[in-house]
Amino acid sequence: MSKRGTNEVSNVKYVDAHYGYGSDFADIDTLPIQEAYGYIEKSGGDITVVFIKSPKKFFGWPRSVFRRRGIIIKGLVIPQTNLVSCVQVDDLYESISIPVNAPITVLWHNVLHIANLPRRNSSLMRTEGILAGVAKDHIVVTNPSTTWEVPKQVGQHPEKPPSFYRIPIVAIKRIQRR
Amino acid sequence: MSEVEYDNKNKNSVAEIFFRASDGLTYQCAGVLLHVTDKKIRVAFNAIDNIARDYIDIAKKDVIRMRELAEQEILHVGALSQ
Repeated sequence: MSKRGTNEVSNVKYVDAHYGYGSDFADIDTLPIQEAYGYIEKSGGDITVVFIKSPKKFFGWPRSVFRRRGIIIKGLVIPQTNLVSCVQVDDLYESISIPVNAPITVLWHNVLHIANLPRRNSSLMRTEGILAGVAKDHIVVTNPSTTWEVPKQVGQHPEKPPSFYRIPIVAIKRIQRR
Repeated sequence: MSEVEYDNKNKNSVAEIFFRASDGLTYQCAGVLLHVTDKKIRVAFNAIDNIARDYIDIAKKDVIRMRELAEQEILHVGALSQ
């Protein structure tokens, strides 16, 4: 990570989970590489890419929050595990030993879009479903039900249940057969 | 090429922009200059497969200061190791 200041403009390449409503989950081997530009900050196991910030307004938040971190108007919180340079695909592929079609529970780190929030940490998600496949850098879970594990939040993500979820293997904290 | 598609033939410029919003406050952003007309600029912040996902349109009259960045000024994080 850089020793330069938080006003340094950065280009960040990462992978992210995504979901869908069709049955095309067998079509890709690898997740698309995503990229973002902005000012980066490091916070625990995450990096925050700040797209737009305001140096002049408090928005009613504690002054200490502003002084310490500044106000993000729009940005992304990316788990460091999801950075492309961290991906060790072959080792991870071998690590998924659960057979296809088994019911599973997966805990995984999700990229978070933030807007007008002081928050700087990514979400830990829980997905329950059927392990439909293991691709080169991700798993496919069908009939998924996904909730927020940390921080706890009511409801499901997304609200309308998708037919499948692709989860980057690097983002998985724990996977187990149900 | 659509207005949200990165230009693969001519490399897009990356710029840092200070601008004034409708609330009268000054904001600061950095991103890819995607689309420039006489009246507005479109700045993209992230993309999948060269298609911008998050972007902002800024009226040129609201731009306080804009500076295009040289490649060596941009820190690359998560780039594939060669």
